[in-house]
Amino acid sequence: MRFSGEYAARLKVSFVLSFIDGILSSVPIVLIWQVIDRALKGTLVHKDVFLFSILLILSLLIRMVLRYWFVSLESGTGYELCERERIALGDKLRRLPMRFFSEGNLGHVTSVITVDLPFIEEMGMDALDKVIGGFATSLIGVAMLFMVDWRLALISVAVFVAAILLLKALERVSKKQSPIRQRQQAELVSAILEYVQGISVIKSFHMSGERANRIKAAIDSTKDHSIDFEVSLLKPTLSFKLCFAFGITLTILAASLLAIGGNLNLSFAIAMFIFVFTIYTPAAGFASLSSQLRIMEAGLDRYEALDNLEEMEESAQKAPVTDNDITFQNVSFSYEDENILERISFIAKEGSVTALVGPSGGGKTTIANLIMRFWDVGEGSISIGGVDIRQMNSGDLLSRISAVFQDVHLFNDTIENNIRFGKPDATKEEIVEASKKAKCHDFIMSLPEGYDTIAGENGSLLSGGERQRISIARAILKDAPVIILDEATASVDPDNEIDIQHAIGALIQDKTLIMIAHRLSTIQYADQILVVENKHISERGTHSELLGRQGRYASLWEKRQKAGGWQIKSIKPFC
Amino acid sequence: MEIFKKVYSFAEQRGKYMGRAILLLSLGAVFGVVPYYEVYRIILQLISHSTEPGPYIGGAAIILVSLLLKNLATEYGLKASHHLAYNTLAGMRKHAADKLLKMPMGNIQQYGSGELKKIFVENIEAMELVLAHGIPEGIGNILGIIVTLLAMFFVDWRLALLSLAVLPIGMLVIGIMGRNSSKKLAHYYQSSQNMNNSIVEYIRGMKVIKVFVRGDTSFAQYRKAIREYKEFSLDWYKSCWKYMAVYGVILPATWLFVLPFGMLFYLEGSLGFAALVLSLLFALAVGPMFMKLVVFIPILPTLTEKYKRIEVLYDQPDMKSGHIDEKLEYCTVAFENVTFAYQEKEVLRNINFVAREGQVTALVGESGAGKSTVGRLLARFWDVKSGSIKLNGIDIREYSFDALMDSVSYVTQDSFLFDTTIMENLRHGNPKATEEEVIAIAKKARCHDFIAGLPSGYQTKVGEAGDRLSGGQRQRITIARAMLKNSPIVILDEATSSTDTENEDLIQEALNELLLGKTVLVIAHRLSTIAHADSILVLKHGEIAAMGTHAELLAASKDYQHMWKRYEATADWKYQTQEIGG
Repeated sequence: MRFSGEYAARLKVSFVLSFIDGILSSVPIVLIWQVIDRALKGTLVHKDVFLFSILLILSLLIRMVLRYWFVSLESGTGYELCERERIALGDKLRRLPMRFFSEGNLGHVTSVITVDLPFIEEMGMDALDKVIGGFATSLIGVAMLFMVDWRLALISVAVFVAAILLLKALERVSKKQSPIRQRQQAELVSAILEYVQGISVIKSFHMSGERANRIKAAIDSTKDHSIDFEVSLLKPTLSFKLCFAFGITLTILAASLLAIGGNLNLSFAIAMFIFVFTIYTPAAGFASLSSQLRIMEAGLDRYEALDNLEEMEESAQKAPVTDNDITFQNVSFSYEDENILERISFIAKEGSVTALVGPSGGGKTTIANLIMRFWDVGEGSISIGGVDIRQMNSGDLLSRISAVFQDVHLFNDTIENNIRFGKPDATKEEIVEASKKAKCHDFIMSLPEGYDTIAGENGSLLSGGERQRISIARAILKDAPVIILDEATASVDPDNEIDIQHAIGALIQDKTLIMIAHRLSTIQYADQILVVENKHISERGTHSELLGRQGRYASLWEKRQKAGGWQIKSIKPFC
Repeated sequence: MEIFKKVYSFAEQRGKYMGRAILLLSLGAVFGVVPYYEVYRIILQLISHSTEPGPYIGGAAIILVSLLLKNLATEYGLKASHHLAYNTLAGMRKHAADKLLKMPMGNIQQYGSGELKKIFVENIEAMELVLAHGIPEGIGNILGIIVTLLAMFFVDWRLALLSLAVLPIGMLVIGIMGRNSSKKLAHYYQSSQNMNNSIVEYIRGMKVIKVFVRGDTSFAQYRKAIREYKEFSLDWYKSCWKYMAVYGVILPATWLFVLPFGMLFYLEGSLGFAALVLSLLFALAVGPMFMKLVVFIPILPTLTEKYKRIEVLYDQPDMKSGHIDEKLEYCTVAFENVTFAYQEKEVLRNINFVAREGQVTALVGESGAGKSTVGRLLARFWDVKSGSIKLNGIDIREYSFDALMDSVSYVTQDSFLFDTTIMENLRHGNPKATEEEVIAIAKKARCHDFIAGLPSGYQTKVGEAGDRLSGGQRQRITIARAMLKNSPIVILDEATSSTDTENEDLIQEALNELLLGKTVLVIAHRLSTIAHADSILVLKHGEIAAMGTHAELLAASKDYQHMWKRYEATADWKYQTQEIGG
């Protein structure tokens, strides 16, 4: 109900409809009362049967029309609302910074849009229907009671007030439990993840007993918590329902005592017996709505959390970028209170190669990511062509950069269209040329449908290396002046490493290259080498300069030369 | 009904809870009828103009007590059914956990950990609402209908039948609705599928979309899919509205026939006044229950649909364990005419070779040639299609699974550690090892130094160490773990290689310690790894194309020469942003 917003007007109409519907649905009660009245007075005749039938049928027909109107208003609203929200969220996603799109987040967002929203779409309007209907009938019931006898009406007012209070208590219990449930759920997920990811280790070290017991303990604990949750709702639900039981009993007792005391018409009293059982039914149903509402509530919370994410600040104007020099000036950056980089300064000249080397976790990748504004720097500035990247709009910035990383995403579209993504107006010839440069043309041609082959997430036709090369072809077509490259990319597919290397070689021609480098042969020829470790640039210079210095780089170099991949030496004992 | 049997078979103590639930829910339904009967008696009192308050108070007391009992029985019945439901969910999860232990490892990998987690958590979770709420409440409702109708038949069978008359009308309308909208429903499902795909695509591709500055076009596609979905769903829904309006009003209107005919019967004298009132009461009570039936109808197909996804996993074949139950000390591995097909496609054909202890046997070949499959068959990820793999002359299928696992270590660069202490992780290799033994091995595997440098040393939890453990360090811990296991056969697969492992020299030294004196099978993706191997098998399209030492193959095998050339080019490759020589 939270995001109904401007649809409130429609909701008002549907409430009115529901109200009229509620009044009409008491027609049978009124008729029953009439029958009782006439029967008791002995004035009931055959003609009444005919008349009452007509009235019943009429009320049904009118209600059908109202219902139709109501359903069309409400359900239509539900679908339109969800459409709007989906589109708004899609638009929102575009404006989030790059860092948001990590593996874990992607799964989360996907499930919010594809699981939570449909649930709200389907159940939300149904629940709304019940709530509105319940309110309307309860209100009408109380009003009718007042017309008959104010004392009986007061009983029902008291019952409703008590019920509302008890329902609130029910909700409180439910709310209190929900974080416990969520924690439990998270524990289960992590236990299961550890189990399925470690299953091969579990098997090969036959730890099945120990690990199976652990996961079963986690499963059982989830079960126990779920049952506890339901049990904790039992008492409040029971008291909620019992308050109607008291209401029914009191009304019947009061009506009969009033009737024998001559203070209430006999036929009214009997009609009241019938009426009292129907007046509370819709409201009593609220208790069973609570599980649905709880799931919806959780879904809405996740949705709103997404909706409240901070968007990236955008600069509207196009900045006058002169060249493609990249300048880091005293850049410091911290993430979650931990300093990652401190006072990093360097210039990567247009058309030059800058190699970032150093231990993993030293900050190389962060430097690369900062250029693409995954995050904004804490202090100092990064500029391209003399313009601070925070002054550029993100489209403008990203159009200057191509990044080649290990995770490749291809769209569920033809290979041709995937490559064309780099340049929407590219001709087929340009695409083929880029493919040839990226060493993909041959394997694409060997596919049954060539460039028209679909390359989706599940496209098992393509190996990791092939997907990687298609992504490089896409980047070649984009022809951005700055390339950010993680050299480890090449070893995604060790069997075909040379092909990826050729592809990368074609991509980086005449570009400003920032490279997270691993391979000595590559590093040797870089224009500048930055040794990044422990948040700082500890050494900088060309290969020969750095070797001459006999510092960190020289020792790294020495170690690298010794290694160079797994190498199985002789394994015979004692030799 | 078959589906209920299947699903509930997973629940522990299902007999107890199922019996209790049905008993209590039935009791609830019976107690639910009593107040109506008491009202009937009160009415009899009233029309006999009895002014004695005693019977009225007594009647009211009975009403109160039976309403109390009704609600108590129903709530406790629901509680029992919640036990049943959550036991079922837990049972399904445990069954899935056990299934993974019995399934061939190869099939597990085919699923991937993401998909498995989805089955374990989400797909099973999806049944919760149906099992814990839909079914128990639905059954309570049906029991309520049955008991109320029985009571009604007792009062006047004609009116009881007449109150049922709305059911066929409502069902007919629902039936027509189903038939008329089925085509639109299909469109609706299709468009919902399309929309979901577009959404997933849009989100997954967002990084690429941003990098290539294609936000506008991609967003337009996203919007289009969502619009289409709305249109189709509204289209389908609209076609249902009129039917929904009709059955929504008709189904609960049980009095539609009961009231006029009740009047007739009363006028004719075949029905007493109080019986008429009681029948009307019952009719009014049963109406909302009929409406709830509609909600219950789709539960069966929903349950079947949700269960289907999980059943696929349950139906996976188990791996049969053999009877020889001793760990091998030394081992000669022989592949004899091994052929293996994966989903109809032959991956390996007539593989014959022998690997001996103290020797390194290497497998090379282009990607897709089947080299990794050879290693996986030896670790029984799958079973061979024909031929056999023998350890010391006995087929691996004769060994118990545990004995085989004790005899084979399968080492990859994917270094999985459990979120517990480093000591415990190492001990997984040999639970009986003393602390001294573990530390001695850790030294050999070149991990002792960095472990000792951690704040809690060997008692540091892997998860806590989190970022502190680098890929290379994890790798060395897994090697130490394998050394503690000390199996005679080691399979080494460097398939998922990352070059960002620092201190490769240390890993190297650790590996060579592990391999010492073992029967070693190396699946090599970089030829540098295996230049010193005792025997190299060149695989091509699933067959052995050549066999020999590095020198022999360089001289004799065209395939090997070609691969070596490519390897050398890879190793010497350098990036340059300017063309050499202009």
